[in-house]
Amino acid sequence: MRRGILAIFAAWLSVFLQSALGGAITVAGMAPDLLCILVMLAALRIGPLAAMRIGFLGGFLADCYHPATMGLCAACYTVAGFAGGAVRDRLYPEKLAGQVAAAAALALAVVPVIASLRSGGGYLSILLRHGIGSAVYTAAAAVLLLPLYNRLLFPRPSGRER
Amino acid sequence: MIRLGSVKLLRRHDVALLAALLLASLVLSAFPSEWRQGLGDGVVRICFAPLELPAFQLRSLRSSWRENESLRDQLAAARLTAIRLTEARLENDRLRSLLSLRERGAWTVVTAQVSGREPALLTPDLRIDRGSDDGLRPGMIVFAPDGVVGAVTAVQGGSATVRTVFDPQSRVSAIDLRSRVLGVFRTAGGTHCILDRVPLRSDVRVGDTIVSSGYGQLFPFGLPLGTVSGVTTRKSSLTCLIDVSPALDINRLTHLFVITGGDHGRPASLEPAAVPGVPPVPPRRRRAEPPAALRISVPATRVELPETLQMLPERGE
Repeated sequence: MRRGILAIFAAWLSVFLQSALGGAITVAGMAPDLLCILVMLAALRIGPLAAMRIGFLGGFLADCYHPATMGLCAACYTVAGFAGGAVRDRLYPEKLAGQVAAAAALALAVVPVIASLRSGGGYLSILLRHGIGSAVYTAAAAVLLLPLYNRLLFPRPSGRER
Repeated sequence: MIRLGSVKLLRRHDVALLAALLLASLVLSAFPSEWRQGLGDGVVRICFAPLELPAFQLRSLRSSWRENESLRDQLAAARLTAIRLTEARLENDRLRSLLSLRERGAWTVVTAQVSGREPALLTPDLRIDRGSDDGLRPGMIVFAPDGVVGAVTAVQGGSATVRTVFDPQSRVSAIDLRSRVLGVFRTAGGTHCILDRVPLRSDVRVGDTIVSSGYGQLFPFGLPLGTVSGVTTRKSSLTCLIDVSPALDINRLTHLFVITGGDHGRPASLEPAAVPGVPPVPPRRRRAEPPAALRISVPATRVELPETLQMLPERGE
């Protein structure tokens, strides 16, 4: 229950920071996808069910800033959570490097899709112009945020609990 | 459980949830645009708007900091400018008090008319219809709106004789109003005038205005004499020759002014300005007074000086 509330709060915080700090953290049209980091962490540490729920909720909140394409982000992040959960057994879910790489890969897949469907531009050109840079930027942000998310959502059990 | 070899790929409830959420997304996208707009605005207003303002203020902190820095620089520059201007004003006040500068154009003048001309080939002396009865005395300065006319040399009861600056014996200490180069204004024959005793390489240019310098203690500073019409330098000479086009057309002179008092102070001698190297010139012979019938008597009046003359600073004394 507590983890669920924290996950919802983290999703809301990711969308809020991305919208509120969008202008400040955007470099050459590229910005980190904070929601991707959270969805991938949930997929790796919890499983696809939680990741899909968080992805849908966060995507819906992100869609509220762009009502014209309502449902697009929700669908994309839901699929992203499902995909992350499907491959979690092949990765090392508790390793930071694996989480960062997975978040960057997810951003590389999701950001160009959302951008091309929103703007009507070509997927490949958006992938080359913004997708790769955003994935790298997301990886850098993940290095900073994942330890925080890990400590917040998955606190280590005390000795007695062990 | 869907397996690919030994790898677990999909679970049924995962697929079911995925399908349900994708269906929900599809339903959201199928909403009418007004519904989507209303839903989006409502969620943003409830979930994000309360923190948008602090976030905006947080974002604007950086620009505010830069603007603050820029304004601080501008304020420092403005303070420096204010200090410099204050210093300049104080310095101006000090210099004014040192130079005893007073209100300008405060002369007392008497208007006069040209009543006759003494016979001479090129530069006749003038007779005016004012004399000792009107307070005129020898040595008083006569000028016209166009420039210096000369000085009173002899007075009678109702008339006076004026020696013009075009007389060969007249010398006026003059100054270039632009470059402050000093010289001696004199005639070179008739109304052809020159600025003499100007050192070589002096900054005198064609078009410069020449006015009386006041250094000779005869003519006050600032009365127009003419305009530089040519500058000639000779290798064999230590001075350059400045041709001056006189400001005054003496042949069309009818009305003029005689300075009888005021800030100009006591009337000085009519003798030419003391110029080093120039021998004193003996006074000219007085000529006969014209018949009384030819004199035109006009009451003396105080007149305001022309604005152009009031603008000229007074110096000397």
